[in-house]
Amino acid sequence: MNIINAIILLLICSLIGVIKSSQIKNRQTQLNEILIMTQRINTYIKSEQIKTHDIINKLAKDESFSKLDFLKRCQSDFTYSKQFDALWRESVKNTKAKLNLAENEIKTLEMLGGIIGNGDATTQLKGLEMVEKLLQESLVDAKENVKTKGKLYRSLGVLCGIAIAIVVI
Amino acid sequence: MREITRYFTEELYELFEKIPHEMTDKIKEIRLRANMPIVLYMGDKSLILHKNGQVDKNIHSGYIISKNDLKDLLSSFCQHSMHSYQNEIKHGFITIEGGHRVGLCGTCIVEDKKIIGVKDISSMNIRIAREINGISKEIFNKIFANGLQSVLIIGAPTSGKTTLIKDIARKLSSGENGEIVKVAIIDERSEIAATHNGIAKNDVGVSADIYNLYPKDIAMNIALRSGSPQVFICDEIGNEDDVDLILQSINTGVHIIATAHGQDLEQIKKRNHLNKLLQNNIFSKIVVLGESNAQIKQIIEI
Repeated sequence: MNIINAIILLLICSLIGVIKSSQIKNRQTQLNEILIMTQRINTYIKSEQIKTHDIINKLAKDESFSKLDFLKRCQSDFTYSKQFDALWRESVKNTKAKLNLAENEIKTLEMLGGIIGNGDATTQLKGLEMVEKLLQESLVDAKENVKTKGKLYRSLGVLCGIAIAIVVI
Repeated sequence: MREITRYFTEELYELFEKIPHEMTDKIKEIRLRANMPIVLYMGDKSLILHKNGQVDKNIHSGYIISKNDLKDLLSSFCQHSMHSYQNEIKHGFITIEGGHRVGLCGTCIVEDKKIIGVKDISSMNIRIAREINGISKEIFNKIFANGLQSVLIIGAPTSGKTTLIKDIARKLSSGENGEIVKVAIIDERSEIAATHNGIAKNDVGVSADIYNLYPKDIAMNIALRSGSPQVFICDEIGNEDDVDLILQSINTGVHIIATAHGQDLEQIKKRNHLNKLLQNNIFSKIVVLGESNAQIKQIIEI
C-alpha cells in the first residue's frame, strides 16, 4: 500500500514540476507571438493603413496567434460605439487566466490597445516601437527562464517526489 | 439616423432614440460643440436637444457635450482607425458610411505652411445625407428632355445640391431617361455614391464609374484617359485646378453636371474661376436652387 502511495506522490510532484516548467515555456511562446503580432500591426499601419477592425480580423484569423485568445474576443465584441482601447483592455482582462505573463507584461499588452488606431500613423508607430522594445526585453528574460528555471522545476518536481516517496515508504 | 447614432456612445445613442421620429426625419445637421448644448438644424431653424429628447429653442437646459465626448466621437467616426483618416482630418472633414459628412473644427498643426494635422477638436458638424429617388424629375423634364447638356447647379449650403446630383447620376446611369449613359462620378468626399469598402452604398445606377476620394483634377484626367465617360458628375467645383480640367474635358465632348456654392448667378460671377467657366460657355444651363429640398428657383439659359 505504501509503495502505491509513494508512486502516486512521485507522479504528482513530477507533474507539478512539468506544469511549472511548461508555464515558463508558454510565457516565452506567448511573448514571442505578441511581439510578432506587434510587428505585424506596425506593418499594417505603416504600409497599408488598414483600419483597426480589419487589423483585428486578420490577426484573429491568423493561426500564428492561436495562443492569444483575447484577439478573438476583441474581434467578436468590436463595435464603432465602444472605444477600442477599453474593448482591448477588457478582452485581455477576460482572457488573462490563459496568459502566462507577468503583471508588467500584461500592462504592456494593455498599453498596446491604447496605441492602435489612436492618433496619426507616426504617433502610433512610435508607440508600437516602444511596446516592441519592452516585449523584446521580456522575451530575453523569458528565454533565460526557460533555459534555467524550466529544467530546474522539472528536476525539482521529480526530486521532491522521490524524497517524499522515500519518507512514505 | 441610426447610420449615424450607431457611432455614438450609449448615452448619446439613447438620447437620440428619445427624439420623436417625426422630428428625426427633419434633422439636417447635428452640431456638437465642446461644453455646449447639442444643436439640431432642422429645415431652416436651429433647435436645442434636451436630456429628455425634447427639442426647442431654450438654450439653458440642453444636453451638454464634453470635450471628451468629441474625442470619443471622432475616434468612433474614424472606426477607431485615425491613421486611415489622416488626410480627411487634415482637410477638415470625414465621410462616414452612408455618405454623411462630419465637419471638424479644432486647432490646426502647420509645418512649412502645410497642414499636417488637427488636434483638440472643439466642434463637429454632422451633415445628414439623404437619398431621395425622383428628386431630379423636374430637372429631367425641363433640361434633359432633349438630350444631355452641361449644367451648373448653384445653391446655398443645405439647399440639396448633393441630393440632386446623386439622383441625376442614378437616373442617367440606370437609363431612366431613355439611354443608359456612361457616368463618371468624381466623388471627392464620398458623398455622392457613399462608397464603403469599394461598394457604392447609394444607388448610382449600372453605368457609373466612381472615383472615390480622388482629387477632382486627377480623377477627371484618369476618367478622360481610360473611362470614356459621357457625363462627369462632380460636387462643389470652385478652385483653379477644377476649372482648368473642366475646360479641357468639355473640348473632348464630355458633358458636365456640377454644383457650386452660391445664392445666385451674380455671386458665382464674382468668383473668378467659376466666372471663367461661364465666359467659356461651358454650361448651357444654370439651375439656381431654393433654400432647401433641392427646389428649383430658377433655370438660366446661357
